[in-house]
Amino acid sequence: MTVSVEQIQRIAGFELNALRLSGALGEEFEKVRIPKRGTTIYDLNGAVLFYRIPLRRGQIASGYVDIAADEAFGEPLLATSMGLAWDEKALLETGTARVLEVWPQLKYDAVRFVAYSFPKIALQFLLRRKEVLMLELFSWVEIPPKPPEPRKQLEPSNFERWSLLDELPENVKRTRVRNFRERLELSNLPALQMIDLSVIMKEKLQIRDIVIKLFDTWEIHYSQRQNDHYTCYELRSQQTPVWCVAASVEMVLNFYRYSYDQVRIAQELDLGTCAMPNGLPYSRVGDVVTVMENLTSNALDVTMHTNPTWNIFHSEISANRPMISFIPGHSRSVAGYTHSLLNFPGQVPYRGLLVYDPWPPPATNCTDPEVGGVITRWENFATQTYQFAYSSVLRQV
Amino acid sequence: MSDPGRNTHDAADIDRQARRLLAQGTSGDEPLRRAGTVGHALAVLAPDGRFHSWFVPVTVGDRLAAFFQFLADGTLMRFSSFPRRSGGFADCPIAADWLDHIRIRAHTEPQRRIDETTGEPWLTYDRVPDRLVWSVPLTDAQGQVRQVYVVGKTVYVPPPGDTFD
Repeated sequence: MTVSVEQIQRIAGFELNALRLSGALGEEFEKVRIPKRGTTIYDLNGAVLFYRIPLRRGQIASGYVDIAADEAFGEPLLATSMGLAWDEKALLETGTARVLEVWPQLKYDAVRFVAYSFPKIALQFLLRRKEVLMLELFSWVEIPPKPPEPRKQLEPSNFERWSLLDELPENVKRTRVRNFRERLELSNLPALQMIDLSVIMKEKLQIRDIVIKLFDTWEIHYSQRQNDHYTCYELRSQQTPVWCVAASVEMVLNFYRYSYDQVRIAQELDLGTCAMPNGLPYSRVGDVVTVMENLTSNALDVTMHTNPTWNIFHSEISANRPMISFIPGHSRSVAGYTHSLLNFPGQVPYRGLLVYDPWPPPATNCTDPEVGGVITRWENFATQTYQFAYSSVLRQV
Repeated sequence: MSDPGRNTHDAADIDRQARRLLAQGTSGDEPLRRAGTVGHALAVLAPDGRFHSWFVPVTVGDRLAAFFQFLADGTLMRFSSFPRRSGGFADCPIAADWLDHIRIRAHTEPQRRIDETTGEPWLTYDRVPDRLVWSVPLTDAQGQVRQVYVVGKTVYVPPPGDTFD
């Protein structure tokens, strides 16, 4: 099933306004207009694949947006670009001039845009609905015919023509169609019908009676009932310039109502005293597991993760279990996450962690536990190196 | 200390970005939005002296309530706040301890040896950018320089690099 042409401008408007609201699109998109008409781009099998719609700011063409016409994409918004204007008429003129120059005898009665190797686009010249020539856009090089050799699906060689719709596995298509329809329902909300979405503006979707979920966010709290959310995690600063690990362990143990103070935890971790403190050597990262389990009489089952991924943080925090995060030379605890629900297909959405960082320490060692540390909301996951993480599961109560 | 990545145009852009993030509520809570003043971006240099990121303080009165840290390309690395509860600015560090060079230099006095002179502080970090510090060079009569780290009122000698601190 394909999306009707009438819906395209509206979908583009909704998607771009939502991305602008979420901050994924910058100032350069503000007050950009989305026209009603775009270029139809076909799949190699002849189906309408997507529409490329030029974007304008005032009289100036400034970029374009690609909106899926086929549900097999899974998301209506495929891509958007600023800086490179899309001029269908000029491209057709250049392409046909090239044909006249190189293939002056060629006869054709139609020309259309084809994604010959998605997202690469070509001009396809047809005579009585049969292709007579295909030229890649901008390079104006002829695309060779489909090679006779069979190959694995979705593994085309360089400069090979292939059909996205024909090669996409059926099970993938089914899932994507479901996603696509759910996404489309959002832009069809009755309350949105009253709004002109053809101009991108940051405040456009900040309207009463419409709640658009832009982020999935979770902070540690008492239960997993979303509506009863009340944050229950506390910051502990490191009581010496080298006790970040002790402070991180203290935060997690305090969450589980074990009220050991940092001096005691430092002692268990062999981190010296307030007068003569030392850090935790790299060779003893496993001690965190042992000490936390010992201090809780094995009520906590602690696991160390090397090079932890986003999924580990996400699944543990979602289960209401705070974590300890080691980065090179430092340790903190993590009690929340957020990630953007709107992003372009194939791109990593914004992901952030709520970090309870014991740094900086108070002025003098072990004198003022209620001073120091910072709460980082949010730490950009893409900009940090995560060496180790520790998760803990309550086994006995 | 060299500051090759810094120029006033970049700093002004970062200032604007920080002000916008705070004003629109992307970073910080309501009390901070109402009371906070976004200061000017300061360059954070890596320990080897190369430009690393921008530190943008948010003050409430004489307190440092929060700060932004942006990478050179403007990517927001983090927004960190000191209050342990919303509006709890009284317990935040004194802003001058973090921002006033004279005061930062003065904090190193107990560490300064009799033949050492105190140089100009530069904002850097202790191994990871999470651990922001001012590095203050102390130079002895023979011209030997050693760095002392200052963070708030805490002063310490850079620790060896083989531990988590």
